[in-house]
Order: sequence, then structure tokens, then C-alpha cells
Amino acid sequence: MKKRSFRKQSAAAWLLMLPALAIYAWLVLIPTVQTFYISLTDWEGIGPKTWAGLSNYIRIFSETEWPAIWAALKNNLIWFAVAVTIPIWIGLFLANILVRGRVKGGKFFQMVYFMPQVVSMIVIAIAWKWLFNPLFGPLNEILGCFGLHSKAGLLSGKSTVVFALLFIYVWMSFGYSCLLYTVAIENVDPQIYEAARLDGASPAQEFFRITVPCVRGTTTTITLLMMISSFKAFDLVYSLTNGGPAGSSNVISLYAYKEGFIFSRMGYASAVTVTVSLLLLGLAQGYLHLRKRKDGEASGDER
Amino acid sequence: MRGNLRKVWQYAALIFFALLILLPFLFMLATSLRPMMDLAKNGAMSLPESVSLDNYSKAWVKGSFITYYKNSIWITAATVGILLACVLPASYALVFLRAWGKRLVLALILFGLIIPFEQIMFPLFTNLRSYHLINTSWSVILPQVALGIPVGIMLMKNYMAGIPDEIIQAARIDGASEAAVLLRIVVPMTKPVISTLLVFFTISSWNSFMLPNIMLQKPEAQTLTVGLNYFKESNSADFPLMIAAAFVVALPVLLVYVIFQKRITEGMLAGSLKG
Repeated sequence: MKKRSFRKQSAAAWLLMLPALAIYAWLVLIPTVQTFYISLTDWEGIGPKTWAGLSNYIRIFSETEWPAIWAALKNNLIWFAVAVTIPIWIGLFLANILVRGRVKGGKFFQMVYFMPQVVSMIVIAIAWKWLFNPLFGPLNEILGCFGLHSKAGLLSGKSTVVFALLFIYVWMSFGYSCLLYTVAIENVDPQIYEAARLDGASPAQEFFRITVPCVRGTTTTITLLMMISSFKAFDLVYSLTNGGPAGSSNVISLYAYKEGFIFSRMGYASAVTVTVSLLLLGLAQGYLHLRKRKDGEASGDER
Repeated sequence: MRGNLRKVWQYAALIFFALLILLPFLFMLATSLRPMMDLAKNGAMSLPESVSLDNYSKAWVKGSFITYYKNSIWITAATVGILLACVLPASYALVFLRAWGKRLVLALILFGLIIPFEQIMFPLFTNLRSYHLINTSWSVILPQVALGIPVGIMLMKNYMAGIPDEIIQAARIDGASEAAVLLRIVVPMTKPVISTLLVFFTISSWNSFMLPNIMLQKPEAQTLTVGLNYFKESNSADFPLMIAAAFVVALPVLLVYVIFQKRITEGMLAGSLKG
């Protein structure tokens, strides 16, 4: 009796899972495997695939390619360093005020902060392309009052373009962090705060000793999300600077995209994406490992 | 007194960041209402000489935004519809049915949460090209569905796990088939998650750029994001026109956002926490 029902359920289950699994396998799982295979060939996207072994991977570190890759990676690392700190802290700071401070209009502020996340990246690119424009945009005029005006504009300077992009990125992202933290702080047991207040804790102490540790989980989540997002950063860079000027704002995803789709070096480009994915995986694992150890120590301290 | 001072600082901080977000948009709005010559002559901080909606009508006509809107609406609707049609039965099976290989399926799906689009973009393109699907809306719809399945199933599965088993058993004893249980009992109970997925994937699909940019090279097939980018490239000297075009694309979204704000932020929240 039981066996028959199990087989019946099995069959029904696989039937129900079929549409999802079919599309998923065809368009995600198989291409993942294909990418590995392509990275071991000299494929140009069309025509036969000639076996190349690990030569694509070796080429990444060669004299001709490494400088460009390193320049792009450096930008990703700077992006990464900024993305996992500044927008997160701003979001936490603002969420703390919204939830714990007794302010009115919380919903309105949250709505405004989150707005850039809702419009497409291209709209944001157009906005800042104009704002940063040296001749017709308002920012240069405003900066000029402080003597910081730049002739070519912040987006055209090799040394300033990455900072301009990061400013835009932080601008776009802190609302997201604020939203996540608002939910997290709302879920903290108010009795803990009352007890602390009875013990004479100052608001600063309440923030650093209670709020911050209690939202640990959200901090981990959002750090991971920002980590991943900083290694993508494709849409913004592509539509605003396309890696320029002279490759100074290039990021690794854009580099791979151009190698594969514009220069048709798909084998090599695949090797790049595989390497970056592994790098990212390693970083994420490393972070989680560190987090677990820190949490382990912290919960050892808590009564 | 100290409490009041703190309040001042708190509001100051909140307002500062709010202005940081709003001022660019307001500036843009103002500039979109003036012709380029006015901007070039007087600079960005000046008051406009004349105010008109010319840039908007020009943008609407010159860029083929009607086409882009049509494509975006179709692609987003199809993506979300097909995605839900796949996710609901699959999640039901994973939660309520016993079958061999369930653990393997779950592992494969979890794996998909980590795979970035960049990893699969090359073979995805060449595969779809060999099926002659490039430049059709399916080259965007199907990959978006595929990429959304891990998130969708994880969220739906976690919610369905909260449905008491007795309800399912009772329905089965009454002789209902699995499909009937799914459709008549489980689906109505998962309305909150469906709403969440709806919001999250609609926004994702509507704003997605990289995938449609790769797959759609013919203007007739392009979506709003790709079309807007192209418009920006071909009108890069006329800022007010570009900005008007940006608003043509962004204003409906902003309107929907302001009205449905609570639902939208809940949806985006759940989508990124991925259970």
C-alpha cells in the first residue's frame, strides 16, 4: 500500500516540478557547465571549438592582459570596500533614527530613500551624466563656489571618475540598507532597551551595545549582498562611462563582456568569468566563516 | 532641553539625506522643461527663460517609446506569469509530496542562488542564437524565468511549509487529486507570497538591462531600458531632451511606487532576504 502511494506521489511530484526544472536546467544549469567547457577552448562564439586547455587561464596572468585585468580588479576592490561600508552605515544610522527616535514622517523618509532602487539604472545614469557635466550640469557650478570646480568634469578625469561612480552608487544604495535595517531594528525586543535605560545607558550606548549587535544577522546579509553587487556593477558603468576614460573606470564584468561579445574571444572571456566567480565565492565563504567565529565569540559572552 | 536638541539633529540628518535624493530629481524635472539652448546659454542654476513640454513630446516621438513600452510590458507580464506558473507547482511538490531525488533538486536550486548572470551569459547567448530566438522577446523572457526560479521556489517553499499538513490530508481523503489540492486549497492560501513575488519580479524584469541589451539588437524588439540607453547615446548633446526621455520611462514607475509603496518595499525586502 505505502509503496504504491509513494510511487504515485513521486510521479505527481516530478510532473509538477517539470516546467520549473526544464527551464532552469536548460537556461541556467547547462550554460553553467558550458561556460566551464568554453573556458578551456579558443572559441570565438561561432565555428568550431578548438581545445586550448588551461591557456586561457594562464593568459589572464600574462604580460599583455594582466595590467588591464588588474586595473579592472582594482576598481572592483575599491568598489567592494566602499559598498560594504558606507551605504550600510548610512542606512543603519538613518534606520536607527526612524525606528528609535521619535520622529514623524518615517514612511515618507523611507519612501524617498528607497526611490533610486525603483527606477532603472539608465535613468540614474542619465541623471548623473547631466549633474556631473562640466558645462551644463549644476554640480560643477556649485563646486565652483568652493573652488573645487573641475574643467573636464568629474566623470572625465582618470583619477576622479571612480569616486564619482562610487558616490552615485552610495547615493543609490543607502535607501536599500535603510529599509533592511528598519525591519531589523523594529524586531528588537523593546524590553532590552527599557532595561538599559533603567541602568542609565545613554543613547549612544544603547546604539552600540544593543542595536548594533542585535541586528547582526541583517548586517551579514546586507554585507553579502553588497559584496556580490560590487562585483557586478555592470549597468551603471556601462551606461555612464563604458569603462572610460581610457579604461580607468573599467570593472571586471565589463572587461569580460567586451572580451566575449565585442572582441569575440569567448573562450578567454569565459575563463575570466569563471575565475571571478571563484574569487567571489571564496570571499563570500571567507566572510561567512569570519562571521561565524565572531558570532560564536559574541554569544559566548552573552548571558 | 537636551531631548529637543537631539530631535533637531535627528530631523536635520533625515532631511539632509532626503534632499540628497530629491534634489537631483527636482533639478532634472526643472531642466527637462526648458530647451537646450536656454540651458547652454544660462547654465544649470538659472531660472528657465521659458517652460514647455516640448522636450517630452519630442522624446516620445523621436525615441520609439511606444514600441519600447509595448515590449517591456509584454516581456515583464510573460516573465512573471510563466514564473509563477512554474514556481507554484514545483514548490507544492517539494513541500507536500514524497519523491525520490527531492534533495538533489533542492541542492540544484540552492546552487542557482549563487550563480551570477555573467557566468552564463556567453553560452546563453549562443544557445538562444542557435534556436533563432535572438531579437525575439523569448530570448529575454525565458532566461529571466530561469534565473528567477531559485528565488521564487525558496520564498514560496518556505511559506508553504507553514501550511498545516492536516488540511492537505483532509483534502486528499476527500478524493482530491494533487492538482486540485494545489489549485483549490494551497494557492489561495499563498496569496501574500504571490503578491511579494509579483512585485519583486515585476520590478526586476522592468528595470533589467544587461540581459535585454545582449539579446535584443533590433530596435523593434527592445525594452525601455535598452531603448532609453540608445536614446541617451544618440542624443548625448541635448541634456533636457535626454532627461525628458528618462522621465518618460521613470514617471509611471515612480507613480506606481508612490501609490503602492508599502507593497513594493515589502516585496523587494523579501526577495533579497531569500529565506
